[in-house]
Amino acid sequence: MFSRTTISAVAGQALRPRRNPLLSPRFAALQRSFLSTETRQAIDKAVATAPVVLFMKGTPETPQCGFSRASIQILGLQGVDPQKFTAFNVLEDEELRSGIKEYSDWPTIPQLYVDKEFVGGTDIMMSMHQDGSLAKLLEDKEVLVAAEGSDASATSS
Amino acid sequence: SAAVEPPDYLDERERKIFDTVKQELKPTKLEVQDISGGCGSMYALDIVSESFKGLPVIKQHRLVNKILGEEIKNWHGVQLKTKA
Repeated sequence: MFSRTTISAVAGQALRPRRNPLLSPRFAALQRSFLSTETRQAIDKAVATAPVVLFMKGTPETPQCGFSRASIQILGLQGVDPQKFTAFNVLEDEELRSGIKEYSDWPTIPQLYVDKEFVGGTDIMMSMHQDGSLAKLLEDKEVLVAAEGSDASATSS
Repeated sequence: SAAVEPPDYLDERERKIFDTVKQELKPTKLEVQDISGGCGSMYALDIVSESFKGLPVIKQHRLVNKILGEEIKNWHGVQLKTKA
């Protein structure tokens, strides 16, 4: 399906902010609900790295959660162009994992962004997949693999 | 529309969730199920309510998130099915 997980250098760097005194254990309680400007800006950048962005557990090749796996499968079935897709593994980055929940005001992972707009999690992707609205959204945003001439399979005998 | 009554087989936590949703959304259909094998860490909710009328699915889910806000934060996951 997807040949790689793209984590742009910019976002990768921005997602690991410099050590901040507010991140010390004494401020753990504050930290939980505190979306720092740095983190917010890093997530702004992450959300803008590609037309289709999925914050998930694990990678597209190796999802670490059934819901994340289901989301990847749906995007694959829809024919999302890998060149227009980026996945972020929240398990690699605790600040991203909690930050994205504050940022999106959404309690669970995975989270799908299309054209920098939050679309929803697995349940919503599933129902949009079933009623055709996901296909329509992805077509409108022109993020699908081109239909013509791409019947050629990657495998060779 | 008939009010929903909590079934007997709900455990304590399911019952609490049921009552909260019932109170806030006055649903015509409501199902709450612990899908974490009784661990109280993941729930499936199926809600039909007029409170959802006119709202896109994502706003319907956000409404449920708001109502169960503090609870959801302690869960590992949640599955929502909502309908107006």
